[in-house]
Amino acid sequence: MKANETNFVRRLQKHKEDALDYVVDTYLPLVKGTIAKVLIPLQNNGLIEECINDTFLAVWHHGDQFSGAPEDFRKWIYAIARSKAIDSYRKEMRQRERITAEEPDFNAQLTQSAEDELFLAEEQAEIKGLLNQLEATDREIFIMKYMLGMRSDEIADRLGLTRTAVDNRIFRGKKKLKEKAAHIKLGGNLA
Amino acid sequence: MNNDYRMLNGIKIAENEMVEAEVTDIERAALKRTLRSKLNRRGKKGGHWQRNAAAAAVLLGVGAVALGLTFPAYATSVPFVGDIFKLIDKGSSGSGLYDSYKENSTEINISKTSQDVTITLNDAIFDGKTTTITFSIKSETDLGENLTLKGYPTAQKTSGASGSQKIIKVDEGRYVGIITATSFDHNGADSIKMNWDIDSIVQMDGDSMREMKGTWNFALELASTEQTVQLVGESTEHGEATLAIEKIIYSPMSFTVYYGYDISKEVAQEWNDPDIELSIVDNLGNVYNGQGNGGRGIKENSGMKWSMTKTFQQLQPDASELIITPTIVKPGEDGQTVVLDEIVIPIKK
Repeated sequence: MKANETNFVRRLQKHKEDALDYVVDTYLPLVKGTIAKVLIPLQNNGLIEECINDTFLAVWHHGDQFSGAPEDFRKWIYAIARSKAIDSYRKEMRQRERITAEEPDFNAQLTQSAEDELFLAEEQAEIKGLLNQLEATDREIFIMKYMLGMRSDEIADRLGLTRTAVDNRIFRGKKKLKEKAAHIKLGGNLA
Repeated sequence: MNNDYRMLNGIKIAENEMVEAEVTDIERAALKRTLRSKLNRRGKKGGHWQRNAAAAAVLLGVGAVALGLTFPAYATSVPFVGDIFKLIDKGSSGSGLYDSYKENSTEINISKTSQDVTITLNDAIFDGKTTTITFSIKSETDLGENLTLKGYPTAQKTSGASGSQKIIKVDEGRYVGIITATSFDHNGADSIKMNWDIDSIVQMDGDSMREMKGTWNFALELASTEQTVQLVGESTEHGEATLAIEKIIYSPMSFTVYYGYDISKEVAQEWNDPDIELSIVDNLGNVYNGQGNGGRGIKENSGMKWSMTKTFQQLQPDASELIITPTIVKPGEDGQTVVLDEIVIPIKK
C-alpha cells in the first residue's frame, strides 16, 4: 500500500517511509516558501536547507503530535516550518549581534525589546511547557508572537481582537509566566 | 530539544500567508536522500526505525516459510522516485522529451543481484526503432557519484546499434538511470527481443576509475508502442551537402525523424566530419526538443552517406505542419555552423 491524501497521516504516525515521501512531495513547496520568506534576508541558503530538513525530521519523529483531519496537516506543517525558521533567524541574529554589536538596525525586522529577552529562553523546554499554563487564547497569542514571529496587529486581525487587547494579554501573560518560571529557576534568563 | 508540536495544532493561519516556492524533482529527491541518511543514522543507534525494520523482517520470514516461497527474483523494489524518465531528463538536459514516456511504458521490475549490487529494470518502451529502459541500482556500499554500466542492450537480429546512458545518484548506494539503444535494422518494427548483459559497473570519481566485475544478465521482449508512419522524401542542399528527410514515425509519447545526408569528401575533410542537426517547430510555434539516436555512415564514391534518426517530444495534437531546420555543425570548439533551408512538412497521421 502507498501513502495517499487520506491515509498519509496514519502511515506517517506508524513511521512508514512512503508517507514521508508523500509529505515531501506534497508539502515541500509550502515548507520551502515559508522558510525562505523568513530567512532570505540573511542570504544563507545553508540555513534554509537546514530548516527544511529539520521541519521534515520533526514531522517524522513527532507525527503523533498532530491532531486533526488530513487537510489540517497543511497548516500544522506550515506552523512547524515557520517556527523553525523564526528560531533559526533569532539564533543567527544573536550570533551576528555578538559579532557586530555596533549595527543595531540590522535586526530591525524582529526587534527584541528588553522584555522579549524572556523568550530568548524559549528554546528551553521548560518555557514551552509553561505555555500550557496559559488559557487558550493567550497561549495562541504567545505561539503566534514568539514561535511564529507574527506582529501584534497581525495577531489581532487573526483573532478578531484589538491590538491593545493583544498587547495587554501579552503583558499579563508574561507576568504570569515570570511568576511560574521563578519556581523552576530559570534564573539568569529571566533577569 | 524536547519540542511540543501539539501546540501548533489548530493555530489560526490565513490561506494567503502560506506561500509556496518552486521546487524541482531533483530538490525533492535530494531532500528524501538527506532525510533517509539522517533517519538511518539514527536507526543504528536503536531508534524507532530499526525496531520497525526488524519487526517487518520477522513477519516476512514467517510468511515466506508458510507459503514455501523463496525470495522472488521479481523484486518490486519500487524506487522512491516515481518517474525515472522525467527525473533524469530534468536532471540533465531538461528537454521535456520524456514527459509522456512513463504512461506509455511497460513496467518490467526484474532484478538481478551480483557482488551485493542489485540492478532492477523498472520500465521499458520500444517505439519501433529505439528501446528506452529505466533502471535502478541498489548497493550495500556506496558506489560514488558517477557510474557507468558496461554492456549494452543488444537486439537480436540486428547488425548493430547506437545509444546512450545516464545515471544519477538518488541516495547513498542508490542510483537510477536511463539507457537507450537504437537498432540499425529495426525501422518501425512491431516488437523487439533484447539481451542486456552487464558485466561491470564503472565508478568514475575525478580522474580515478574503478571497475566492479559482476554478472547482471537480462532478456526482454517488447511490443512497440502504436506507430503511424509518414513517408516524406523531401530534401535540401547546401554546396556539396544534401539532407533528406525520409520519414517520420509518430508514437503516443514522441516522434522520430529518419533522415540521411550526403557530404562530399572535400566538404567532409574541410569541415572535419561535420554533423547535421535538426531543429523542429510546428505551425503553432511549439518547439520540439529532441535527442539524436545516432546512426551509421556508408562510404560512397563521393563521400559519406549517413542514415540517422532523432527522437522528438510528443507531438502537439493541434499542430498541422512541422518546420524542420537543418544545420551543419562543424565539430570542435569553434562551433561553426551553416543553416540550410527549412523543410515544411504537412503532418499526415
